[in-house]
Amino acid sequence: MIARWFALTLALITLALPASALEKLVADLDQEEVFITTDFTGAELLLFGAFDRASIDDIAIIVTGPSKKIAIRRKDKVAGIWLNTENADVVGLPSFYHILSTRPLDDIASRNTLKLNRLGFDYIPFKLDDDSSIDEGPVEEWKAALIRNMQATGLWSDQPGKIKVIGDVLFRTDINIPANIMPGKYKVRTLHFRDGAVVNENVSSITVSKSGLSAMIYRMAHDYAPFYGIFAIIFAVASGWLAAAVFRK
Amino acid sequence: MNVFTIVGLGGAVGLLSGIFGVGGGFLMTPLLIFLGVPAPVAVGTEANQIVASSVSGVLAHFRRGNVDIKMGLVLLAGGLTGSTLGVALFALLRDLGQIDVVIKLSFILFLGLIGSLMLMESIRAIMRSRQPGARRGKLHQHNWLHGLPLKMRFRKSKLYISALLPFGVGAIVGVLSAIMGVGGGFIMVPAMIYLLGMPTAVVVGTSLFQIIFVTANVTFLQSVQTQTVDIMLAFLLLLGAVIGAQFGTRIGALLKGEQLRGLLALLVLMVCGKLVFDVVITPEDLFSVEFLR
Repeated sequence: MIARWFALTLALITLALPASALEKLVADLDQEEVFITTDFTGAELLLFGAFDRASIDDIAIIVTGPSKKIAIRRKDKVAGIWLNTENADVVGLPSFYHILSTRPLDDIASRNTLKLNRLGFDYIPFKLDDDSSIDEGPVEEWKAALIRNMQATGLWSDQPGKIKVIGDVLFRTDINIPANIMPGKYKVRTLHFRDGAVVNENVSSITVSKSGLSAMIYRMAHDYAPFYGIFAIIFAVASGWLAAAVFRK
Repeated sequence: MNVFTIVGLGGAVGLLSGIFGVGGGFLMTPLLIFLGVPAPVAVGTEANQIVASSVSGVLAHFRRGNVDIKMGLVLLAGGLTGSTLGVALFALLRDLGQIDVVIKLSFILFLGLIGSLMLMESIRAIMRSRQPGARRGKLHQHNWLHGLPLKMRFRKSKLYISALLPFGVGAIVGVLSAIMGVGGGFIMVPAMIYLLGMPTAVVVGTSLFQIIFVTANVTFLQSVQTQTVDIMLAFLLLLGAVIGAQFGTRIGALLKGEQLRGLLALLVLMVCGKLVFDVVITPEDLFSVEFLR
């Protein structure tokens, strides 16, 4: 990996050195596939690239995962016990949303630009499903709760200052993939800001898939549930029998 | 989650179930929840593990002829009905977002009840052993339950009672089995002795016999309807439990019955207390999120 990083660095430097007016943005990941194995505890991907720095330049990277429907629930005390009493189902939310940047987003660009590029938790569309039990009124409170809870899972995060710029030409950062990540296609957008405007964009992707025994079990449990159930029973009966046989005196 | 933590937990609960001669599901499910396994997954997976532990338990009883198959089948008919209803209820509560609290409340109710009864019983037994000559009460009395229709003869249990009784017991335990991920032996056994009036010798074997099929039914239905059965987790727990139980049985033989039951009662009440604390204490965040399918 180090050899590759070194070779690419060299290539990028030669590419970026003729500091002409053409705004070049190059970005690459050290690995485009993540395999979730049974003992998967998360991964760290290296993203690096080169850009053409002229004025006040910033880089922001947004990694988004497959869209999901998420239920937000609110507890209330009922007869001394904390129960979920209200719920909001939100559709089309990214299951993964990491923003990495050279500086806090609000310092990089205006709210309008950020909104246009869907950059930041505030600009994630918050669309309530019909069977939600809350009114339109306190939506902001629910949205804040969603952002807070998703950040707690590590699936959403905002990391200003995580991108390091080296010698006005190169940048690099680590993307943290937590253990609870979902399989699917992940989009990586690298944006080059100059004086608060996007001048260049680079899009690449990461494929996250289950692998080995865990992939087989996961696929079986979800796509062939009846067989999985029967298999689980046979497996249990066989292990129970075996255990009795082994320890029988 | 760490593999050794899981095997270790299986081992610890196996040790206890060996010492006390109990199934262990009623301890394993809450402990899995304490370790951070989502409550529905703890329940679905534990049902799967109980299939295995009941199979290995029932074999010895079969060899000794301690299984009343006819009684087992009637209990089982009730058990299958109850557990099928139970899994449907489980899926409904899960959609409503209430399954976690219902699982916890069920455990609080039953652990609290069984724990206190056991504690009182063992205190009474210890007192009695200090005052010899105390008399034992009658095992069971005739009441309205014996007037129910559909009478059936159970030769092995030397009983002539309405089939509705064991069917009803089986059905209630079946519902609990689906919602709590337990075999239900801790309810089934006392019910068989005190309510049905079965001889103690055949109670454990017959209960294990029907638990195998009820938990197998729960495993299958949970796999299909809620996808909460984790084979890997079940296997690791079983691995620990099998080994733990072997040591447990040996330790159990060295200790005195009444004190042993008193200890188990305290343990059950402690687990119950922790669950009470869980549902009563103000959560750090009133809001929670969950991915939907």
